[in-house]
Amino acid sequence: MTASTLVETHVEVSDLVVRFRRTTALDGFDLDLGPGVHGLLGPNGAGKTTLMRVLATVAKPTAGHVSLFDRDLTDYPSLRHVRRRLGYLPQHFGYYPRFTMREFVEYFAWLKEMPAASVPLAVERAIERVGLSDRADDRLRRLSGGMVRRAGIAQAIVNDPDLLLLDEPTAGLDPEQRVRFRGLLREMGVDACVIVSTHLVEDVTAACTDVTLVNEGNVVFRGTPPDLIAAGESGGGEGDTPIERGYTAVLRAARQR
Amino acid sequence: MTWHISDQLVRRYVSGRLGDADAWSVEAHLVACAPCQAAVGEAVANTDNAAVVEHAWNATVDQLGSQGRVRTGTAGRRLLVLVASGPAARLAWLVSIVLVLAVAAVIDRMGMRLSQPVSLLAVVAPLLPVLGVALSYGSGLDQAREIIASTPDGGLRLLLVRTAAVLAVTTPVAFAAGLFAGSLASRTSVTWLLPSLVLTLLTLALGSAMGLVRAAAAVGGGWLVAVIGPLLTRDAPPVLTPDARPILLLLGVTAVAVVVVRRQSFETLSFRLEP
Repeated sequence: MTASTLVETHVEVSDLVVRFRRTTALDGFDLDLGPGVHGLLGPNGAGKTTLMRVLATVAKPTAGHVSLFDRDLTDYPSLRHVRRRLGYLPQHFGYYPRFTMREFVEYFAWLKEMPAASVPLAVERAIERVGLSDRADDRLRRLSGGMVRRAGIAQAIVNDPDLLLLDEPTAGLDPEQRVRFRGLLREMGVDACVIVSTHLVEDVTAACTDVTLVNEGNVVFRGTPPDLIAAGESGGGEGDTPIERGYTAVLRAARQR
Repeated sequence: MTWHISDQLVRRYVSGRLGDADAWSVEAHLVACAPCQAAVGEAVANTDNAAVVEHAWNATVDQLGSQGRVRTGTAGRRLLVLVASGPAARLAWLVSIVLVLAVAAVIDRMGMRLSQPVSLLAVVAPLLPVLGVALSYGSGLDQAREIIASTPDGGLRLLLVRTAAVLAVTTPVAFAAGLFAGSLASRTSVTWLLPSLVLTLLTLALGSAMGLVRAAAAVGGGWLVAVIGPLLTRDAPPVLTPDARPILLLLGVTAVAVVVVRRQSFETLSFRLEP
């Protein structure tokens, strides 16, 4: 961690627009994020995954401004600098069936241009952190869905990223693994900017320092989990838990606007 | 290390007659000093505590588990892992090129030529690396492409490594097929080597603008038209004659220049994402 990290803004998005052929996924999106664990909530099709892809530098914005670590993504040297410091777990990802889990994580360590001498240890550490050390030499096709997802998390954190993007990371994890995963999130969020997109509201309460609620390509709520709970108490939303009531109340208010 | 634990201190430590503060000092020293570790080990071996130590050691070792197949991080290892993810390392890919080339060689050997100066091998062999490049990058085959696209080395570098691997696999197989067909010794042997290189480079160059899969289709289609077109009028295809070599060479050099100039286009995503 360099000293510059302390004064950098990790994510700065303003007036971001992403359009596909006919649909508009993001429509004038603004977001500023620093270190911490940031929850991204919203219904299906709200634009969460599109936002994650733009931040992961795999999708191009139609209009607007995106800078990561105070760098625009317009020239190749900046893009490369940013990508070295990035960890990304897409919602769906495939793997090479013949690769063992260790090889899979190692593959991405190399692609992220990590120094050769540090690769083996970083790979072991990442696998250990997702609790799969005992399965490291198993081929990926022999692992369960939840284990493959944890392998995906391991490749995302192998380079100790300063910006960690996790799209639906808890899908397929059992309750015990989810608790362990939240611990990992909190650890990473101490000095990195961690963005977790999820539709599981309880993940946000447990692990996130703040919540951004997205609906139809726009930010409709920004605050801490207690803020969202408070919005539910005053807005009279439906749900089984306080935070679920906050979620539905904010969404309903946004739709009526 | 200049200071070592005295024999007397070792005996007192082992028998538990040392105060806490002194024991901690001894332990702090033991962490880093192999000779003193050995001295303590010897001293313990003759006491009742030997079994306790043995037990604690075994319990610790059992908990560690095996380390597994950890590889040292070297440039060669990096290359191996990158190549292993591409089509050149897939058994299905290897089997299909061997099959295609074998069939072409057998047909050539039996003398069933498309036209007298043209061997089927010379037509088919250049197409295989083009297909390999199409499969290398941005195709449906690479399931992890979305993660790869977010990495600094996932663009042109990975593409070039995989392309080189595809050529390295295809070329020897084509040579073997050529040997079998009996065309290696003759002057026709080079007719497939140069085109396969040039078509591969053209695919990369076009791919920088239209995506590699489409580029491969265009280049492959163009090659077939250039070869089969003249055959319809029973002429020898000009692209397979020695006269075409300078032109092919020029095309290849141009393609390299285009790839160099447009290298950044490989760093952004070359496939469509579903909204």
